[in-house]
Amino acid sequence: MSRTYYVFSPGRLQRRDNTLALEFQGERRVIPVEDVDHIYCFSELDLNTRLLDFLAQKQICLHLFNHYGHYSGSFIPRESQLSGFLLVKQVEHYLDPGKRLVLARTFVTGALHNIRRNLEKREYEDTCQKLDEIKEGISKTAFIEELMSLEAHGRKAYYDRWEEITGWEFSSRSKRPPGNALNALISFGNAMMYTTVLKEIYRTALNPTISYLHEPSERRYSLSLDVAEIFKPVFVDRIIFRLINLGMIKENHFDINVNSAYLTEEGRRIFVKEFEETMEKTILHRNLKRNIRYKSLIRLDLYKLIKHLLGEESYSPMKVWW
Amino acid sequence: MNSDLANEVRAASITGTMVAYYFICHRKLWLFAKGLNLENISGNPDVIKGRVLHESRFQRESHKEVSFDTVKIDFLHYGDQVYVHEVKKSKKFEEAHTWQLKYYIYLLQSKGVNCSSGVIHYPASMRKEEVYFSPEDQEHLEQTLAGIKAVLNERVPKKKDGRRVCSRCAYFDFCYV
Repeated sequence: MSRTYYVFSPGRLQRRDNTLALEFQGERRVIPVEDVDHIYCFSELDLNTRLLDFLAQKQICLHLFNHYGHYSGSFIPRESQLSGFLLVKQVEHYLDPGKRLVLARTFVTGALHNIRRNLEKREYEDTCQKLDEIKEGISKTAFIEELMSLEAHGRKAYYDRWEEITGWEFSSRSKRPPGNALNALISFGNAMMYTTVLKEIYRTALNPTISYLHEPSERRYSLSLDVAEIFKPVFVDRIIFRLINLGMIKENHFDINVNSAYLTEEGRRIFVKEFEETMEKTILHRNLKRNIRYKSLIRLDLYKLIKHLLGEESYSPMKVWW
Repeated sequence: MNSDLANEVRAASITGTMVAYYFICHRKLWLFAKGLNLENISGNPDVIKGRVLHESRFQRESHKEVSFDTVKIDFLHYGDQVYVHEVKKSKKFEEAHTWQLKYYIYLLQSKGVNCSSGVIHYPASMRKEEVYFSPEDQEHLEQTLAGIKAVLNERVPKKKDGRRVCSRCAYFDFCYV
C-alpha cells in the first residue's frame, strides 16, 4: 500500500475479481488493489457502493476534484485509528489560549523558516531580513489574530519576489478564482498539499478538525491546513519554481479568462507527475539515521505533534535542512 | 481463584497483546493502550510478515479467533481439557509470548473452563513451545497485571530507552524522530 493513483479521463471505476478496474473509452485497465493508497479523481467517474465498500475494506481514500480542479471532498474509510485519550489532549490544547498560542506560533515559525530558505538561495537579503523581523515579532504575539496578520505580512513580502523568481506576471495572491496562471498553480499546489497532509493525518489518531492556527470552525479539516503551512514552501513552491524555470509548464497549459485562470488537464498532469516524483524522493534523516521519503516527513511531523500533545516533548516543526 | 481480581482485570480491559508488551517495552504498552497504535501504519516488515503468517497458517483449524472479554485467542483445541494456541513470528520475545498465553489460560480458568496448558507456534522457524500454567504462575501473573495497570495510570509514557531492539520496532519512528 504505497502508491497514489490519479484519474484524469472520465470512465468507470469498479471492483472486479477482487481488484480494481478502470474502464474508459472501451478500454479496461486493471489496478492492483494492494498497491493503491489513494486515488485522486480529476474527471467524471462512475462508481457504485460495491466499489466504496471494497475501498473501505482495503483502507483506500478516494479524493474528488471538480471541473476547475477545486477539491470537492473525499471518500474516507471508517477510521481505524481512534484514541479518545489523544482527542481529549487535542481539545485541551485548543481550549487553553496559552497552549493554543504555543502551537499556532510553532506552525507560523516553521512556515516562515521554510519560506526564508527558498529566498536565501536566491540572495534576496532585504526580504530575508524582513522575514527575520517578523519572526522576532512572533514570540511577542498574544493573540491568534495578531499572529495571522504577521504571517500574512511575511507571505506578502515573499510573494512580492515571485515575479522576479519566475518571470511570470503575479501582482498579488488571488483565490476563488485565481486571477492568473501563477495564482492558479499556487491554488492547485496548495490543494494537493492539503489532501496529502490530510491522508497522513488519517493514518494517525489525530482528529483532523481540531486545529490551532486556523479556526476549527472553518468547516474544513483545518488541522490539515495548519500542518500544510509548514510543507507548502518546501514542496509546492519549489515545484512551481522548477516547473516554470525549466520551461516544463507554459502559458498554454492554462485556461485563462478575464478574471480567472485554471490549469488544463495537461497542466494538471504535469504538476501531479512532478509532485509525485518529489514526494517519493528520499533524504537522510538526521535523527532516525536512515533515508526516508519526502512524504514521510509529514507523518513524522504529526508524530512530533502527538508527542507535544501528550506532554512529552515540545513540537518543533520540520525545518528544511537541504 | 480470586474472582474480584478477575473482574478488575476485565474492567481495566487488558488484552493479550498488552500482557506481551509489558515484557517487551512499557512505553509501547502505554502508547498501544491509549489507542496510539502504530503497528498497522508503520509499514514495518516484521509486522507485515507476522500478519501474513497469521492469515496464511492454520487455515484448517475450526475454533479460530475466539473472542471473549477483551482478548482474542488465535485458536483452541478441545480434548480432555481446552488447549490454547497462539501463533508468533519469531522466538525473540518468547517470555512475553509465554505470559500472553498464560493470561489467556488464567482468564479461561476464571470462567470455570478446564484449561491449564497451550502451545505457542513459531511456523516461520518450524518450532513450537508448550506452556503449562502452574499455581505459582498465577501469583506472578497477578503481579504482572497490577504492573500493567500501574503503567497505564502514568500520565505520560515512559521515556524511550535506546535499546537495540528499538530499531526493528513499529514504534521506532514515533519514539526517535
